[in-house]
Amino acid sequence: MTHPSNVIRILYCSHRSPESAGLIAEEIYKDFDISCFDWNRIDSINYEYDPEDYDIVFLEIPVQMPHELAESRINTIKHHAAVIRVHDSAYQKKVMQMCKGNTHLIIDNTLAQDQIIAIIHMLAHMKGNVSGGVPWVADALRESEQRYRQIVLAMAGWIWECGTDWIVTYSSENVKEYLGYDAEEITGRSIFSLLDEKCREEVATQLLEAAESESPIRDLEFWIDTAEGGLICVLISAEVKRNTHGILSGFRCVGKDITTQKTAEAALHRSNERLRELDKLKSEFLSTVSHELRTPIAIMGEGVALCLEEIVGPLNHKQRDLLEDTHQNVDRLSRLISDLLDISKIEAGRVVLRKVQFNIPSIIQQALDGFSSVAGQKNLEMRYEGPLSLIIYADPDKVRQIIDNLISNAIRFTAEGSITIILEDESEIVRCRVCDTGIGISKKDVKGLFVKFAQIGRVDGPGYKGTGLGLAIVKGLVEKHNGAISVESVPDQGSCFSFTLARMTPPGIGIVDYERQRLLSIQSTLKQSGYLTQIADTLNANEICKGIQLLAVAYNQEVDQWLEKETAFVESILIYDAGSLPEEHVLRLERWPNVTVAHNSDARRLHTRIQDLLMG
Amino acid sequence: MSEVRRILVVEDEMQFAKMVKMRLESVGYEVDVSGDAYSGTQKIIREAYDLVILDLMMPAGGGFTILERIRKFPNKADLPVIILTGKTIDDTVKNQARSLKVAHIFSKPYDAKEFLAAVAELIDN
Repeated sequence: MTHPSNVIRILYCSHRSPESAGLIAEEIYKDFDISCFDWNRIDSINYEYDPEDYDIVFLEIPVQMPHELAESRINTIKHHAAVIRVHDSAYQKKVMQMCKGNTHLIIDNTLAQDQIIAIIHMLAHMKGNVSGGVPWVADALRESEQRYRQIVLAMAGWIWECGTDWIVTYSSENVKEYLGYDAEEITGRSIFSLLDEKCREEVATQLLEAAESESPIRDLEFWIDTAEGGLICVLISAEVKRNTHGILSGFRCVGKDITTQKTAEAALHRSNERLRELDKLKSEFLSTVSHELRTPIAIMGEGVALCLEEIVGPLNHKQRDLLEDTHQNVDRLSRLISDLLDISKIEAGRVVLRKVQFNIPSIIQQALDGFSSVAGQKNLEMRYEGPLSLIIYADPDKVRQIIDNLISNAIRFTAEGSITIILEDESEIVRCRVCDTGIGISKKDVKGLFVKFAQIGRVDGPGYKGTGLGLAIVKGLVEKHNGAISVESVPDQGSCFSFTLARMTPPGIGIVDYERQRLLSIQSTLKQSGYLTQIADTLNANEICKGIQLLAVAYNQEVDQWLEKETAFVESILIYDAGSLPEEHVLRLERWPNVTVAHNSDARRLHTRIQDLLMG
Repeated sequence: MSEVRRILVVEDEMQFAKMVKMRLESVGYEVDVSGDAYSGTQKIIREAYDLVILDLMMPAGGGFTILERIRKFPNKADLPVIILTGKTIDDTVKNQARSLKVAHIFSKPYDAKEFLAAVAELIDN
């Protein structure tokens, strides 16, 4: 059988009546130029035609057709690209097996006639391309290829494809701009022969993972050796290619050169590393210097103090006056060093809060008592307005430092009148205000007030001098407690500093101990610090693990088994009283990332250990 | 009490030690000074002090090294100790001090009144 080369030959095998099959034929005749086709129909089992003579074979497998028969029909077209229509969708898988990996297109009978015709059109286009094709098909292809080329260039990306053997099957021509190779040099080579050794394994893993998860790959970085011997970084997005059976057949990828960006990133990373190193050095330097400074300052201070107290002999009026000035400045120097250390810790984010539950009015009272003599010297009245009991969960030392700083400022800038501390419970937060009747702060100065060493228009009175760091420290500490600080002030009338502290919930701790007495003693120690506790005398009580951050368990044999099942449910586990366990056993317990082992069972020591664990 | 109370100051900064000694003597205590951890440890073990004041960073080991050694002697297990240091007092220092039964930690420069009050309280007990 000979055919003109510009004719697409279709063999249509169907069980349908010649009339019904003829409808499809008519449609195809209508859409295609009739001279392009040589159309045949077979609806009997006996083949009169050799499928090998046709470009497209359309095979319909009806529901009632015996499997053996279906298989023998499929086998006759095994080397051919065929469309196989399966009428029973449950049968589809079976048919797929019958195809034995040949690239047939399997469709089901839900496809409408026009869709089938569209498929035939598509195949006709493909065939036209392979065999030189009919003129109009070739034109259409040329046009679409041009369009595709333009898109590729407009995207300024390198497009390539590879099979599952990683051999590049296609590369866009602009690869030359990227790698310096011609597209022909790339095709046929394994993609890994182009990749820099360091990224080969990762690239393969990621591509295969993507193939398994069916998700497209985004932003995979390839380091590729260029023809000139350079190295460029290409950012790849890839789609998984599958054949008609849905089996992975390769990858289609688009690459963009991001070498410049990567080089900049690397430089940035290096300079960040350097900055971190410098920051660490700065902190270490500050800490060392402050220690080295403390001793000479202590010697000066103590020497002057011994003289001032006349322990080493009587002083005249002028000597006393000078020594008092000296003593004040030694004090100031020592405060400056403490403040510098504090602010550097705050800035480096190294402030650790030791949170416990405490009564904030008591802390305020202690602070007021501490300043009573200084305030008394200036004849200032000190008042507290607020509840006598208000329990918060915070770091009492830091809260005291905040309040001390604010009171100390208030006293410094107030010549007469009073200092009032007002405490208010605002359910989610507590608000504390330190108000004075002093010189106040102008609007202009309020802005820079919380900046370290802010030079504002307030002039210190005689005596106690500030360090210029106090309010910056206060702000840092308040923010560390998830609070905020603000100030309202009227010049010559007074200032009112207001800060808030978030009402935090103390962590819940579960304690499991088979010795009742010890259990209660540990519980009471933890309760004193405000922790919420739950207790049990056996690990079987799973209820205990609900809503707790840490579980403290006295060691017994149950613990080993329990850990195998339950560790993941609690953030942190402290196993105590494990002093008698051999070293290997302890190591075995500690291989769990959230488990810590303590040898003793002393309530106070456990308390410290638990605090450390909760701080992270 | 008629008996004179004895205090040992272990401090490598001799000028500072001299002043602490002067301060303590001014209120009537008898004060010995030791300039390093080694001689300090020897003195504590041999003599009967009512209170020991330790620096933390010194040649031949700091105050904690001394404490670890002397706490092993039954008659020194409860000897009152004050730490007086230029080192930053962080949680590690506090925890270690607590476990070695240190009564007070003062940082340099200290508040003389508070310091003397702490000394008096420990010695009178």
